[in-house]
Amino acid sequence: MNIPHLTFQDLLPVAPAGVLVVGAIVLLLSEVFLSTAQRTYQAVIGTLTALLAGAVAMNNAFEPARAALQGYVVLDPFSQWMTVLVCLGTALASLLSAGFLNHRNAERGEFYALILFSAAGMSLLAMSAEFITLFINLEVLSISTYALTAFLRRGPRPAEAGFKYFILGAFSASLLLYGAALLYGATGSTRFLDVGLALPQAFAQQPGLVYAGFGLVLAGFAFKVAAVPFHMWTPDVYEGAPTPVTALMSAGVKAAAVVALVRTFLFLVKGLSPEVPFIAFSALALLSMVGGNLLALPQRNVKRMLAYSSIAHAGYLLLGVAALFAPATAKGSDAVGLFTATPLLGSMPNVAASVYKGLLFYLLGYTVTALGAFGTIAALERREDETRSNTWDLERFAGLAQRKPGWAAAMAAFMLSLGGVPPTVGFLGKLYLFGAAVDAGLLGLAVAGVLASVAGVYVYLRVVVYMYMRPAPADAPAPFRHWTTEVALIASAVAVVALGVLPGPVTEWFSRAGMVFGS
Amino acid sequence: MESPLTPYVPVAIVLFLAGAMAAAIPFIAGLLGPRSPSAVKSEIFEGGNPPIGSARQRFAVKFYVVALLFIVFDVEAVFLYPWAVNFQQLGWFGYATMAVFAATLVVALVYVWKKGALSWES
Amino acid sequence: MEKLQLFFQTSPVDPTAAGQALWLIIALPLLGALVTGVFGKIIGRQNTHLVAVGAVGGSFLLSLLVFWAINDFRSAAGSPFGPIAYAVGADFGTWFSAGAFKVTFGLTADHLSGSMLLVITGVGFLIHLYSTGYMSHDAGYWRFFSYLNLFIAAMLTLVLADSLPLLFVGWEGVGLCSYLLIGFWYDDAQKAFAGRKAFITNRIGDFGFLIAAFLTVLVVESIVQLPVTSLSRAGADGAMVASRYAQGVNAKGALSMPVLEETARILPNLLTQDIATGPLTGVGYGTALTIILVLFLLGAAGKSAQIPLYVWLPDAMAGPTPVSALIHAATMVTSGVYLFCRLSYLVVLSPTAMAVIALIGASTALVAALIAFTQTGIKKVLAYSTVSQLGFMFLGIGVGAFWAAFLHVVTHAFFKACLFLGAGSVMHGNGDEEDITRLGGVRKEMPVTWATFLIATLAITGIVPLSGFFSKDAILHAAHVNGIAGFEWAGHAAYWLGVVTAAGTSFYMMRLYFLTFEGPRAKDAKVPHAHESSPVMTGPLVVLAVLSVVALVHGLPIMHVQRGGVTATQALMENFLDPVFRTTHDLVAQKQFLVLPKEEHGLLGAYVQAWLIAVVAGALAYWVYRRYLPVVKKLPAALEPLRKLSFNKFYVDELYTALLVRPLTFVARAAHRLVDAVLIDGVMVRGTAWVTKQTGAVLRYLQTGDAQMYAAVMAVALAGGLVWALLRVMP
Repeated sequence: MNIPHLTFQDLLPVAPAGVLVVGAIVLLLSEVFLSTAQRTYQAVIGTLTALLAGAVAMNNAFEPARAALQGYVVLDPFSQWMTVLVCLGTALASLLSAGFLNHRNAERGEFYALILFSAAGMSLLAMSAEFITLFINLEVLSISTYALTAFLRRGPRPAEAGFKYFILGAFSASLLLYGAALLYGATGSTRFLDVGLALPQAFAQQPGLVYAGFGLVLAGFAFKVAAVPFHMWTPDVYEGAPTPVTALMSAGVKAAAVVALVRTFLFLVKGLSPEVPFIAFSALALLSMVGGNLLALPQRNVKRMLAYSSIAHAGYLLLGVAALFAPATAKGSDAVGLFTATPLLGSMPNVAASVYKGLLFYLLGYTVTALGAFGTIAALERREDETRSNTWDLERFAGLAQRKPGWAAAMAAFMLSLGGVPPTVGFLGKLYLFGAAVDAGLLGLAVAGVLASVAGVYVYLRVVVYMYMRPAPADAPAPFRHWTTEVALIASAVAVVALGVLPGPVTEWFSRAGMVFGS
Repeated sequence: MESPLTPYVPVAIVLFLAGAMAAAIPFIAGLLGPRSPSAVKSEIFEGGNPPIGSARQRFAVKFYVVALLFIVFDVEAVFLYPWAVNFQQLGWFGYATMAVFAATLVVALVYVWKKGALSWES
Repeated sequence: MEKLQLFFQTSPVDPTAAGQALWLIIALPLLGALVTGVFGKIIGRQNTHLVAVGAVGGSFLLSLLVFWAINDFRSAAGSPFGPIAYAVGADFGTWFSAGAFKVTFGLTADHLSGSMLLVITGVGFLIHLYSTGYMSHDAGYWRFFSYLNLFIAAMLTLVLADSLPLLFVGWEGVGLCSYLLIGFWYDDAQKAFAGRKAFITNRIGDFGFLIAAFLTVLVVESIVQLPVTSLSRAGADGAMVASRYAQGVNAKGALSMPVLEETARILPNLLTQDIATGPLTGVGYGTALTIILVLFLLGAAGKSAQIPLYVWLPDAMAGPTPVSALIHAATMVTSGVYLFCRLSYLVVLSPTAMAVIALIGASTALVAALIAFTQTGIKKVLAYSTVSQLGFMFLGIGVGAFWAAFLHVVTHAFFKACLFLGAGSVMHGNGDEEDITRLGGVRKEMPVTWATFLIATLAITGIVPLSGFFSKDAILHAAHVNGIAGFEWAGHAAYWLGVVTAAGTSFYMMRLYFLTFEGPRAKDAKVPHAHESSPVMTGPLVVLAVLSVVALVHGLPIMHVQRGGVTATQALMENFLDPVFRTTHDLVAQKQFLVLPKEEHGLLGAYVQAWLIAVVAGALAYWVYRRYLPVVKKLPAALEPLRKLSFNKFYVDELYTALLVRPLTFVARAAHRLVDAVLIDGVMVRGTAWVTKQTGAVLRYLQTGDAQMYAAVMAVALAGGLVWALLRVMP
């Protein structure tokens, strides 16, 4: 009998997820054995677990790229850095949740456990290199987030959001599974490495089958990334979910899905003409960038506006992905279109490396910014007006600068970062990502993205205008005070500015992410 | 005669036997069993619920918890069975793997127990 | 003597460790700024003083250690082009990188920046101490000390930076602090305006600095692209130079000082060639270098108050007097001189730029001196005097006497800080009276202030043997004997302007002294009797006065060096700065753009000449202000228009207003009305916003909240995509 031979090296990539799961189990048990009234300690456990897992992943990120567990997962800097980002987001989300749940008397160990489970799913999803592994991890991540979405189940909105997310998520997961099944049928394997090797022949025989498989898998990912037109669940779910969970979804889930998408297609497209996937990514990117920003424009509900903004940000990320798959065009072809690649300076050998760096840095920036922005919103929410329609209205931010200058300054930093205004991390992230796209020759798409993000700036600045230039309404709520919330927000705000001014060390690390297994 | 379907012959036999058993047992039971019908006994039995009325009946959520727990441990048995069969060959590797698996379920059981999901009345 | 030398050359700290610890020198005052700024109000006045003074004091002690370390013969700072002797430094990693362009966090202290360290932290410490007395009644003390500490941190960043971008951080930082401190009493509209004026004028200069830096990057990158065969420098073959240069640019970034120095070593053979790659294609390397240096001059002119950007400095006296002493006399305004000393190896490669610098410096010196003749505000006179002395320093740079210019920076820091603090003490003791025509006779009432002020005045006028004499004389001497190739006339012109200015300096400084301290008390004085300031204020005055005297040792020609078989005499400072200017000297010898005298002239004649100038002009001032005017009460009518011209500062402010400010305001208003209000706001912004908003509003209706519809949209999109993909493969 063929008994798998497991070594320590095989367990290395999944170690961060292991840490997260152990932390989650500890939290579950703490809930039943140690259910004191004051449960901030659970948030602290969650945060520390996430930070520990992040440290483990960071250690892994400096390992050479290789396959592990018989090629079912890979260990490479790209996925490990992504895990670091997810852990960072998880740590911040746990901290934010402490105050948020405390205010609602809803502190439960299960909440943090679910957050950690979903983080474990994200981490494993990013390193999966086999369809069944991929699917299981996707479900680990999804089921945790479904539950988290409906966690405050007494309100009408969370229940609706959770249910919608579950139904549509199951639908998209089935699409992905169906696509994987088709590809398995075409190639006879579920391991990406073997699928990639067998695909050229399969494609020659049955191109329709292969493309159908591609399309279905892509649709599954596009749902998780929240790319237009697979985005329609996003605003409803993001609005209904507890705000710290929304933050984690917008940053972590997206990050994991993008990495998994890149990994899957890197293997699959190898040996094929990448033109069709390239155009598909470009179209998704274009639709998301334009659609997300346009839809955000008329929103007065800040939480919903940020949901649309997260769609736009998914579009920017997909722009980077498209750059990765841009077909090499000879220098001198002068057609500049939305879906063509026209390198300015001949072929750039390092497009892939700069795309990985750009994606990671962008995700890092988006993680700290989104966590901070949603965290500020969470702090301004009042438990008693959960059912009112104007809970997240812009008016809530009016005059915040006079009432709470520190909060207003932090929120302004987050808004500027989302809009991509220097000297914030959002600006540099956009710079790196758009720069990589231009290097790859995606001039038309990059220009479209820049134009769309200009429209987005209006949306973000409007919040700043309300905070600084409108008088506060009489019944303006004060943010609740809880040290965890304050620590998380200060950390995010400092990170947003510090990384915007001083990206050097981090980009140096991320440059190593150019080492992606299989690329 | 080597048809590609040859390996499936045992499967076909099992299928046939299963179908035959399913058909035969109620028939034999009806043939052999004593019969003393009453009004209560001849009611249509359906999972403890009155069979006639609105289909949109509400069930107590406790049923679902029990059902879910049953599935979890049922699945555990499904995994444990092939492991037990191959216990010798799998050796310590198999043992460690199953120990982790079982321990996870034990933790889950402890959690469920302490949560009070196993007590019917609370 | 031998033993003493050995003592100074054996540092108690390991030079490498000193380099690693350089950041501490900056971090201390930065932390002080943070603490005083955030908690100053809470921890109270005494503790704020303690933190602020302690931070600078600690920085000073660290600077002393570093200074000791760089005198150690073991000290060497790492660089891609081999270790730099007599310097310590460390690289703290990448700051940012964009494509091939990279900037690192590198700090280096060599003999130049080491001396600046001592001046900044030493004078800074004294002035902090003085401020504890001077600002003892001000409610915004914590803000004041926070700004002051922040300034020290920024200035230290400026001098320790080993790349232009990091230097620029300090450059902007000191500009910001200067703005904040000039407008410290911001509820006075005029003072707030003075702050704005300083800031805007400086921004014009900074623009020049930035463009120059950008052009430098282009030049460096074009050199990297050059074929190996066209690269060479003294003592190395092309291939090695090219590979080392590319590595250096890669490791430290195009704008780091080691790379710029290596660039200067490569440039001499390229000066006549045209740039072959990049946006500057077709421009000659020599032309590009001249343009870069002139743009740097614009930047330096902004910070160091040279023509045409000097107008902000006199107005900057609106700030508290310690600020004038620290920022607008001793340290910040000399950063332009520091910049050119740093880039001296580039300066000596462009005779045109040198001539421009020399002439700008000399004219600034003269114009400022002429204005100072008639000003009545005690700080105004000192401000113009500062502008004038800075002109001298630029004159020194222009004629290639970098060490002399820098020596003047140091000596000027001592005596001008002493003068400003003395002026502050006078004002403090006379009911904040600033007008020297309403002072007089302060001598007896404020003996310490008087004595120190007199010493500093004599130092600045260049009376032998005070320190100002040696530095000024070294500059004038260099202007006299050095020749700028092709621009000898500029050197001569600068020399004569300098001599006239030296006489003028003596005249207006003695005028200031006589009107303030001698003679009877003015009838319209604010207070009948002045009172001497507290020891915490006079203490720094004494220290600075002593320093203005003893700094003369730097100028004494006591060092003997062997050069080309001849024993030459060098001033102490010249010898001390020799490691810094080694490349510069090599380039001067190689390229002969700067013609140095064949043999040393007898210095004695020059000494006597300078002394005579100072004494005669001073005597003239005595005669005019103590003998002639008190009797006649009025200037001769023939001189009145000249007085008026000088008093009104040659109407330069009015000229700028008429020529620049008004037209710009007009254009800006017109542009605002036409372009901004109608085109941009109306058509583009509102129009585009309207269209996008409407589109968004329409799209919004798709978001019905119906999950089945959402799934349907996904399915339709997927089906559409699949059909499209299949159509592409099916023929």
